[in-house]
Amino acid sequence: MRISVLASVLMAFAGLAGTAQADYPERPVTIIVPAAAGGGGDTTTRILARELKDILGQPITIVNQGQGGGVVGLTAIKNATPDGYTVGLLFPYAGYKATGQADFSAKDFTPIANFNGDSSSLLVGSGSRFKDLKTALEAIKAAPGSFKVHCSGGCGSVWDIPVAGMMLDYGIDVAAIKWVPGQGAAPGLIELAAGGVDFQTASLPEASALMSAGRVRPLAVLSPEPVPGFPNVATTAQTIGVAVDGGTWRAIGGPAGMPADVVAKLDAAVAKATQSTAYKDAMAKANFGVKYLNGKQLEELMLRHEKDTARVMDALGYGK
Amino acid sequence: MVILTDVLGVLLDVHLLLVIVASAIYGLVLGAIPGLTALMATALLVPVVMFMEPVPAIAAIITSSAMAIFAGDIPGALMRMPGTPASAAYTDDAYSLTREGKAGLSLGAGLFSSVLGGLLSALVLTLAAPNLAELALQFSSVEYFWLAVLGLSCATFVGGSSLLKGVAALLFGLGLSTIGMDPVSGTPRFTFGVTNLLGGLGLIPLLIGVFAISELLRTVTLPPTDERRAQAAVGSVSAGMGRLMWRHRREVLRGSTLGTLVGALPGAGADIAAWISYAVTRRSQKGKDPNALDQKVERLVSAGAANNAALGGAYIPATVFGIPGDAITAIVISVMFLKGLNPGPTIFLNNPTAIYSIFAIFFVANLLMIPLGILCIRTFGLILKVPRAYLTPIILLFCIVGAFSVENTLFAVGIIAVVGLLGYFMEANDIPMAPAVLGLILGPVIEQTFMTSMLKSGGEVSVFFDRPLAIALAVVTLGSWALAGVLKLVDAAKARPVLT
Amino acid sequence: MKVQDVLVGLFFIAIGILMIEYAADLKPPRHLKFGPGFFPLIIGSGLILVGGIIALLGLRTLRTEPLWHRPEWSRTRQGWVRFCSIPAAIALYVLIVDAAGFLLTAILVMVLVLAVSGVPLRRGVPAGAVTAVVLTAIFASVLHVPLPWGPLQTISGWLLW
Repeated sequence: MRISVLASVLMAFAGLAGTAQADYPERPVTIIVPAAAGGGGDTTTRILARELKDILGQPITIVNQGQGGGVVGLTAIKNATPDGYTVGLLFPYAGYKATGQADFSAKDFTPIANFNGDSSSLLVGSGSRFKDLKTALEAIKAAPGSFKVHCSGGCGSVWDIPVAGMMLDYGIDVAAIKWVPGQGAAPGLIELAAGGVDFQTASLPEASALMSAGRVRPLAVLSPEPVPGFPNVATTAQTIGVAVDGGTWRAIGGPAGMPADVVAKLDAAVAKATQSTAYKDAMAKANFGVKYLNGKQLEELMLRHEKDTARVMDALGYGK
Repeated sequence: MVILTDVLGVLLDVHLLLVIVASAIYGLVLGAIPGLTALMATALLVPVVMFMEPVPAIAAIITSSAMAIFAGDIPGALMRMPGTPASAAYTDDAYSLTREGKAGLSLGAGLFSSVLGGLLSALVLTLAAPNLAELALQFSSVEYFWLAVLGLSCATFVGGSSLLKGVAALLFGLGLSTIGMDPVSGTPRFTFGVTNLLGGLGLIPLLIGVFAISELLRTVTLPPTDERRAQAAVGSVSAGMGRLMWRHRREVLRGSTLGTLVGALPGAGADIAAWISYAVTRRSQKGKDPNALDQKVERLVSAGAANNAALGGAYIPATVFGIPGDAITAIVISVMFLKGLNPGPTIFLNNPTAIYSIFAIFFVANLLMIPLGILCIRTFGLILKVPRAYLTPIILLFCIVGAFSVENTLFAVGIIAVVGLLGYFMEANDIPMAPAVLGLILGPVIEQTFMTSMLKSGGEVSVFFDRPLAIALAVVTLGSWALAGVLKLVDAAKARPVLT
Repeated sequence: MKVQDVLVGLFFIAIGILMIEYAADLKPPRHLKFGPGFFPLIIGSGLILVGGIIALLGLRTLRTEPLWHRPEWSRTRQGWVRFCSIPAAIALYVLIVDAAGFLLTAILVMVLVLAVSGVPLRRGVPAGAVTAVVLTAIFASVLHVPLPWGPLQTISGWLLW
């Protein structure tokens, strides 16, 4: 017993990173969450980690690194040792490039599996004259410079980019709109309710409390089908006849160069976790959407996300 | 009435009571140790509470954060190392009382004002949460801007002996707060390509450095014979407190009201509440000796009541609209969602038992604070008897762990060393540290709200005066500045004959 | 170390100039009227103004006061060692904790600072060991602060409760 402990200590010193590991995982797995404790990214990852712990048979340590809007945490994931013992939460990251904060690409990471997806929506305050997406888009098209849209977080990010993309396709001069950045969905919703801005981009769960209070109203959700829990919110297809699928996605990924067998093991664990009733129930209760994608599909999603973001950011006039 | 019996039924659950007592002790211990903060206490609870039943989970957060905010006063008063940013406003007052041999008075006033502030805000929370939440919804970026500017003027009241050096310290703090991504466009500033600097220096590591590490530097260089901690013998904490609180009832009430209101404004929170309450009380003492015992206690009591009241106030927008007032309620909201106990006005109709049980826990926690708080102060007094040579490295390790656990980077640990040295030299040159901390807290708020307002108006400055609430706040802010200026001139005019 | 007010003023002026200098290169992105350089510009100007006044007022006493005043402790080598032991201990922690693990590093930090304060090793080492084990148990094992395990990493699964 004592000898085996000693041997494993020595092996740890020797460093076995990067090589194939049949018995993975032999020790706790760390998941870096580039967001503060209590946010959407943190909550969803913890719900997943609770299942992963049982499936992998090892404790999962969650490390919150939300500084710099997530750049610090994403950098830590990118620079981690690719042995499978440090992975992290990936989410839409391409927006950092236009503002010069960081330049992440799919090549920096090993995509493992996606486990959550939530659609963006366009909201107005209760005092707004707009009742549906179509009249709102027509009004913005006629005079884009006279409208203020709150991005929830920093602009060029998860919620506003899909909405701006939809507007771009509608023929609106998106660069003329006043996009207002903020410190998150909640402060933005106060701005919207207080009449400080005309529109806001956010997910429906984030706005649900103020929606039920009658202070804000969703015009449409950027999802092909109605969102569970919000059956009465119109989809873009229902109002402007164009199906749009835009919003956030959350996935487990690691640094580039992880051993294939470890990735396969983690992918299988995430797949199993997302199918469990406990996971589905917890996610539904907290209003988060379940969306599983395997590593290959996730990589396609990441590449598509980079291309879409670049197109919209370009139209918005970033990087000029 | 039915609800009342239901709530009582919930509260009398043994499991819940155990959770409350355990988290009370946890919060007190973490809050009382220099280097460990209320935010750290709550953040470390997340993995535990996230999968508990909703009422015990939220009870754990409420109890531990209330206890930690109070307990932050203890190392502030006894060692001049405030345990939380919310205690920083009155640390110097509390510590000077200790040095006069009145540690019991200082801590007792802090404890009982915390309890009263917490109870009063719980009362407001229970009776008027939905109405007050309406008020919070009237605040756009313009109103927040004025509120933050008003907060800045507090610096002139906590600046110590030299007003000029106080203002310099405030500007220095504001300058440090601009490090990192700018709050509007996200452009990196003063980062010199260092990824860790993108998130700024971090308030908690800065606080630990500026107060705890710089104090450690001062103590290690004291000659071994100078046991200045020796006078920290804590007298009775509870004796005469009823009379004391009654005598300062105006300050307690003022602190509790200001605390609840400021706490109800998302993004303001306990730190700013304590500063504003401190400054308002300081102003009301015009013409009296600011260093007199009574005046110190008045300021202590009003700020101590304010920071605990703000904690309750933050639950107003959190429960009514699901809007977090600070990092702690952000965690509470996510726990509520996770349990299907979705915050919103409907929660008062759909789930009154749960929501009023949560409010009732505020009463329980604050009452529990009296015996446990006294016990904690007593224990802490014993810890001070540990020889200084052993205490120093232990506090140092707590500071390291405290900075690391909030930011999860080694970079944050390095920050405390650099900022500790900086704080040491500032102190040595009579540059007060409290205004610098105020600048660090308010800097991002002011810049963010100013830039957002300008963005919305297309660069028109008139945006700051075109809403009724904004005008009211602008008048209060600018008026108080003008008044301060006039009073200074009058004072100067009066003082001149004496000088010559 | 207490320095003359002229130097204090000059320090703030220097920081103000650095801030303005850096801010001048920050261009407002896109159609924003005020960019990321606006606030640093205002704060920097304020620092120059206030620093200037402090320096000017300090000129009054420049003749009578020394430029700097060395504190009592800095006159002995032991005083310097004690003062530097705190930042040095933090630097040591930052440098070796990832490789050596929290437990070992915490013992080293304790022993180092204790030795500097004149506590003999036969007392310092056990005191350091006890503190480090207690801290590891509380923060790493129970509260799950991700403190590095170092050589214990392979068995850390058993040490997490």
